[in-house]
Amino acid sequence: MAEEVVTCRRVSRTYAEEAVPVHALCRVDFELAAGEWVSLAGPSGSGKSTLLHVIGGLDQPTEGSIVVDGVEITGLAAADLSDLRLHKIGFVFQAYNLIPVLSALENVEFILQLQGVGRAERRQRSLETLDSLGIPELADRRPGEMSGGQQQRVAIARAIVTNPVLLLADEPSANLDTATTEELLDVLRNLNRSRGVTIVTATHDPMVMGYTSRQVNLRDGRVVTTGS
Amino acid sequence: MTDPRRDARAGDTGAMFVRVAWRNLWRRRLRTWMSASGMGFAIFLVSVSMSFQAGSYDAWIETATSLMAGHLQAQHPAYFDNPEVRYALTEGIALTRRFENEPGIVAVSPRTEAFALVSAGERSFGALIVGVDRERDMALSSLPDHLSAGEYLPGADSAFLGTALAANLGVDIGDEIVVLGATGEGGVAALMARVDGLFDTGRPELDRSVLQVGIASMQAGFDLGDAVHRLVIETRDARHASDLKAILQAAAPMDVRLLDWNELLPELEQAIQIDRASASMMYWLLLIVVAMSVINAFIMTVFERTREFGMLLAIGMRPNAIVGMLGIEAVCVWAIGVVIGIVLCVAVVLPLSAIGIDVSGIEGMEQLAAQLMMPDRLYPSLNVNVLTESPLWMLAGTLLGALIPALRVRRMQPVEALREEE
Ligand SMILES: Nc1ncnc2c1ncn2[C@@H]1O[C@H](COP(=O)(O)OP(=O)(O)OP(=O)(O)O)[C@@H](O)[C@H]1O
Ligand SMILES: [Mg+2]
Repeated sequence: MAEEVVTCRRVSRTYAEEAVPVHALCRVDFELAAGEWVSLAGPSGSGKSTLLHVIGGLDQPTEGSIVVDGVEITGLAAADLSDLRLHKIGFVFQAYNLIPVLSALENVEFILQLQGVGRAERRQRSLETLDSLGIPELADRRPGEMSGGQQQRVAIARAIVTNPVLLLADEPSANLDTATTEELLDVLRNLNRSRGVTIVTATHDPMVMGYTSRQVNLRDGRVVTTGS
Repeated sequence: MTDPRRDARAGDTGAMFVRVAWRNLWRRRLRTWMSASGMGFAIFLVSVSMSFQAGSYDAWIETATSLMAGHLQAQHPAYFDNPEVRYALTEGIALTRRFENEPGIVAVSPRTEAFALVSAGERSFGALIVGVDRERDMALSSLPDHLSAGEYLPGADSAFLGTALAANLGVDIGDEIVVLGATGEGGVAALMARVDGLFDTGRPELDRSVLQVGIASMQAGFDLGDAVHRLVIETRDARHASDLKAILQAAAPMDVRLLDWNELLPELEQAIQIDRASASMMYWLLLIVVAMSVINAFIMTVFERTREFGMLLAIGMRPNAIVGMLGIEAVCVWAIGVVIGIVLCVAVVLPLSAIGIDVSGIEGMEQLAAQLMMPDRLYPSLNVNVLTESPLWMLAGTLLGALIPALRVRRMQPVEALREEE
């Protein structure tokens, strides 16, 4: 078996602020092997985003253990989680992924800059990544001058330019039409197959299911079925 | 040890942050212009009024010191606290020559002084008798300019006195007066003089109580020999008088004490301080208004960009780096404001500092001007202080105004920020 990138054991996330506590995740066990592309499925409110967030170090579980790339991340300080996200995780959200005042190239470079990568290497890696996603012509455009699909591709470029151990995408195609969604999924499949990028997507979209190597179904914060 | 590569990267990151910050400003053009021009206007107002303040203080100092006190004085160490005739500087002429040759000194005038009884016929009044070297005193004192009748000390036995004192004594040009006082040893000092000139300064305390005679006749009458009580010194620039004082004091003989105008005319220094304090009230108010408007603008900014900040936090940017970026945005607004404010200020003040403005017609100024002996024209003065002080205060206000809302970013949870509705 391939090495595990993520291991979740009895992970719960409870929102206790409400009158009735909300169990967004309830004793979830979940493993992810390197090179997999798993899609999280389930109705609205089933806990897809929450699972993605706790795996990515954006949110902390109330119970359980999460090991990412060999490191137990529950209980890490905010600054360490921030570094984990910067160096090991690539995020693609539904929208507002990019800094509006920066061009596509600058957006991709920005994260390398946060990592402290030098100017020349930064520029080269960013251009290569845009190239590999087939969007070199977008380099100088700002988000406002791009379509939704183009923006999402730039977001993917930004997410993978750091060579993260894990790419997390929350409803990446929710704002896109069918044709554009297909193009985006092709891009992700390409990354997964040819570069071996490990991906987790959370989505309602049945079209996504056809692309992924495995699907995990959630309902009311529990894993109900899992299969390929 | 610093790693040069790390420094280069830090500079590089700084440059990127400045670029992001600068472009962000122009996402909200109107707001940026409003903030910057508000700040510019405040800086303009404060700088212009500070330049007028500085100009009028220069005038106050010049008129006040030129009347009698001078910029600096050399005295016997005990004389300032105990102005008695015996506390005199011996070898007055030698000392005068010595100071005259110091760099930075424009003119030196030796004076003798004593309180004495002045009599004419049946009437007697107490007065301050001042012995002056006519030529030397005219070089630095403006008292001769206030001549209202007769001539300024034309002869060896001439007296020059205030109009009020003359009226009290019932004397006029040509009349004889007798001065009776005490010498340093307690003997009787006496001298006779002829009223040859009267002055009218508009300051009752001078016009009523000062009588000038030739220094030689006073030294003879008061048994002073060559001794003097004050060497009144005019320097090239009154603002640097205290620096010069320190230099001169270090080189002066043991029994010579130097005093600058702040010490000689404490009420002048006080008047300047009070005026500064009352003006700084206005500056504080402006500062608060500007800081409030910056707070307002940045509350809007932080509110509108919550999702963007959530995304930046999510991809691993540190909250402090985001706060820093907002700080840079604030500094950019400030910089635009400074350019606006300083350009306006220089454009307005520079020509005025050459031609001056006529203040003689201003209601209420006449009395004040007469009292302080202000000139009719006021020349605003541009200097480094004037041009840097208000921008620096505004910078403090701006950073404060920006950071208060920006610190909200430190409490943001990325997940919640990302969920924020537009
Ligand atoms: N801050 C919060 N406070 C209280 N409850 C919350 C909070 N955030 C999420 N929840 C709840 O947690 C549950 C899981 O939410 P989550 O966003 O993970 O669902 P999801 O599967 O991603 O849904 P969707 O398909 O709509 O995106 C939901 O019931 C939601 O209402
Ligand atoms: Mg969701």
